[in-house]
Amino acid sequence: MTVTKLAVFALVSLIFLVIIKKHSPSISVVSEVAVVVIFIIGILPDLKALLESLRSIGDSFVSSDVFKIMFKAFGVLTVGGVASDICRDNGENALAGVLEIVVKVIAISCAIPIFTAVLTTALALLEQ
Amino acid sequence: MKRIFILLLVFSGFCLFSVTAFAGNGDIDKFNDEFSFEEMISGIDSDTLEILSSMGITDLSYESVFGVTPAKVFDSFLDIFWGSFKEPLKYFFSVTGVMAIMALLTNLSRSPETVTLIGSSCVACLLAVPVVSLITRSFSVLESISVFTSSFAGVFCAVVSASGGVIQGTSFLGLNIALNSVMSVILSEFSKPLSNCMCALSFLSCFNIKTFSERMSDLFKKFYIFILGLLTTVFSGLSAIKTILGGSADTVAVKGVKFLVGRSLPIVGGIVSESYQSVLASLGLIKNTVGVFGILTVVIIVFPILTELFIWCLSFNFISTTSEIFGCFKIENLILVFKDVIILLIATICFSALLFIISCGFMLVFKNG
Repeated sequence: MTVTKLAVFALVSLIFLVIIKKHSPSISVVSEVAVVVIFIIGILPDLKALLESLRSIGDSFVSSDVFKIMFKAFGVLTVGGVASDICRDNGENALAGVLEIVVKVIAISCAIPIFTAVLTTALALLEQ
Repeated sequence: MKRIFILLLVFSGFCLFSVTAFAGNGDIDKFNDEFSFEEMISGIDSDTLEILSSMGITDLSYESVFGVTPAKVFDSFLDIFWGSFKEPLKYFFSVTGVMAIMALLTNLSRSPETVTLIGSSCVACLLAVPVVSLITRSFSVLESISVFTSSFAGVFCAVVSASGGVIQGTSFLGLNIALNSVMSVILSEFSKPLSNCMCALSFLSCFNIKTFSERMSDLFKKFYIFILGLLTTVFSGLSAIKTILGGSADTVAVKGVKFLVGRSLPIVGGIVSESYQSVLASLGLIKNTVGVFGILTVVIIVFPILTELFIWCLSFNFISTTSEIFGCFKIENLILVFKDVIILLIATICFSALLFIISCGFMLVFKNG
């Protein structure tokens, strides 16, 4: 999808969501989620192409495990961030805050093997 | 008739009572057992022996050591230099790749601090293996230097004493024993724990302990290099004093022996004292050969690891500049501390090698007799 199409779709969706919110707030939440999912599906091919090209360039220099961990953490943070924003749009700040903390914990837990390796090396050096 | 008879008598006296004396062709193998050269060579590791043989130094002979050409030396050193480039270059590209991805994801992400934390940990994990390996190899090179200099000192002392420098030889042996003791204490109690500690602190900088690890590592580095510089100055001064005074005392001893032999032995006293001088000169040639061999060996032991450490230092400089460009300041701090550790290792190896080369050099330069 081109930038113009995305911008037009976002503006049109915004207008519809504002109108729907006035009449039925519960349906507006569902509509908001649907619009976000449509956006993500729309940019999915471009995102896939970007990841593939980065992976093909990076494979010769960086281990694929490092790539996987970083992109997994990025994906978790992005999805969690979008969900927490939807909660904030609908006035649920506490829910958004908790969701952000949980997402950060999950993202950091993706990198637990790396943290463990770094701390183990540091402790082994201190023991020597 | 009477004159012919006297002439015949004198001639037969010359033929019957003369002794043939000549200077034989000196063969280094004859001195192998006396001076234990093989024991000294067994103290050298196999990689160094390989480099020595590629330069044409196959044994401890004057021809072998003198036959070293600049072309052979240059070729050997160039091979070592190019071989040391691969790993640092590979890690430079790996870390730059991780930093580029980290910068991209940080800009796109809703939580840039989390992405930065994970990215810095990835870089620390990547660099942990080569840095720890460098530290281990540097300390094993220092151990090789210590093993070689211990075996060399005894042999060199014997050769120097045989060439008329008894006091010089014993002072060299004493100084080397003291140096090895001091080095082993410095390495075990100070250098190794310090470099390990600094590395461990640098890993902690990934978890946001920036200011502490960077300042502390800079302070440690400056203090350590100051102490090494002080020790080098003191040791070099002591070595020079002992060598000069020892050499003067040995000169007096040699001249005394020559005078005594010349005056005490009738008829042949002068010839014997001159032949004593010739023997000392030939042993002096062996002394210089052994001394130069020792210096060359130590240079070859340290050259590969020093080259590698310098190239890693250069690589870390490039990585820290690249991290500044990408805005990865945690990684910049990590790299700066690693660079300080490399500089400490370079200083320690140079200190160890230079002290030996200086003391050996003084022995070669200050002649006796």
